[in-house]
Amino acid sequence: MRGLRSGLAAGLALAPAAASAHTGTGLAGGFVSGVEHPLSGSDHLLAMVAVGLWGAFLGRPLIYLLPIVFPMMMVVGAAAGMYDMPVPPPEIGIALSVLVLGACIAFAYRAPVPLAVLIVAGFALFHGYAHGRELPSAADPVGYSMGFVLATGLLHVAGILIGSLTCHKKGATAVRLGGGAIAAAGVSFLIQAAAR
Amino acid sequence: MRDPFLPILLLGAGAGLASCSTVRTIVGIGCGTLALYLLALISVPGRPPTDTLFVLAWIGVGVSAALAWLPPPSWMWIRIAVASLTGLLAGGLSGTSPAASAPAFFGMLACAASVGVALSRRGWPLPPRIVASWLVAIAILNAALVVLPVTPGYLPDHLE
Repeated sequence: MRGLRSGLAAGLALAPAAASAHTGTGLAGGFVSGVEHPLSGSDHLLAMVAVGLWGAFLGRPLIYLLPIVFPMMMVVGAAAGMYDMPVPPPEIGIALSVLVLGACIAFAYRAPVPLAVLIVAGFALFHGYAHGRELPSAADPVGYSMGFVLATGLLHVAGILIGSLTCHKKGATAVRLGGGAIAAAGVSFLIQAAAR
Repeated sequence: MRDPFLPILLLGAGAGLASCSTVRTIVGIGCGTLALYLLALISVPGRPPTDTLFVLAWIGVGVSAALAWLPPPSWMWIRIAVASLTGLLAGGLSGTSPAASAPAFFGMLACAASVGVALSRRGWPLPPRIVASWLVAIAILNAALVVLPVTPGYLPDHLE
């Protein structure tokens, strides 16, 4: 029995566990990884849904301007990240984006168009920077970048669809409560980011 | 590792979104892209270096997608001319790799144009324009990626 255990242990130790590092010709960080990046991080996910929610809350023209501005500025931030340009800590910026956007929804803040665009554009830079810092290590950067831009846009659309509940009185209350929950999550992210 | 498949696909999407207008524009862009695609395949000696071709392709994606924001009846000839150039770029890119295919380009073009026209006719002209703006964003980022020399994804790994 002891010999069997020893043999098993030796066999396991010699097993080529690292073989999975290459499953082809290096396309690990491609389109799917790009799609997964905003979806897997709750900070990105909440901020992007919040952009759509706030846009739906504010109505035209921001309902379609914000989902255009955010991805556009995000790629500017991603380019800054790829070139390793110095910026304020992106984790703080991302956490603040969740907090501020959630608070804007919770308090039903009807920002003027230029201010809303400015807020969203500023925060998009931080999200893009975080994506851009990961982008150079992706094996298929074209697929990765396409994935994360499309996922971001679709999260905005999801936010707009949820935000369309504001047509009803109860729906508007639910959306504002959701905004409050997003802001609370933002506080938690901010504490975590500050503690690092 | 540089695969032209995605740029070709997005060139088709950009041209398709640019053609979300009148029937004449759609037919014009369809014929123009087909003619220039074939021209690019034939004129092999005149092909620019691969790097230049990729940068031009991403510029083509961005510019053709931006055309979707023009008011529908106007700028017809500009739309046709610029969107047709995507055919030239797609044809040029398809020469860099056998994996790239004409069906991907023309299939995406037809798909994007038909969805865009259907939405516009139902009074929803904004969704195709928003998607077009995402294409512009992708094109800007990828044009920056081509210039960036240190991206490991563009370097051949030890298996290639």
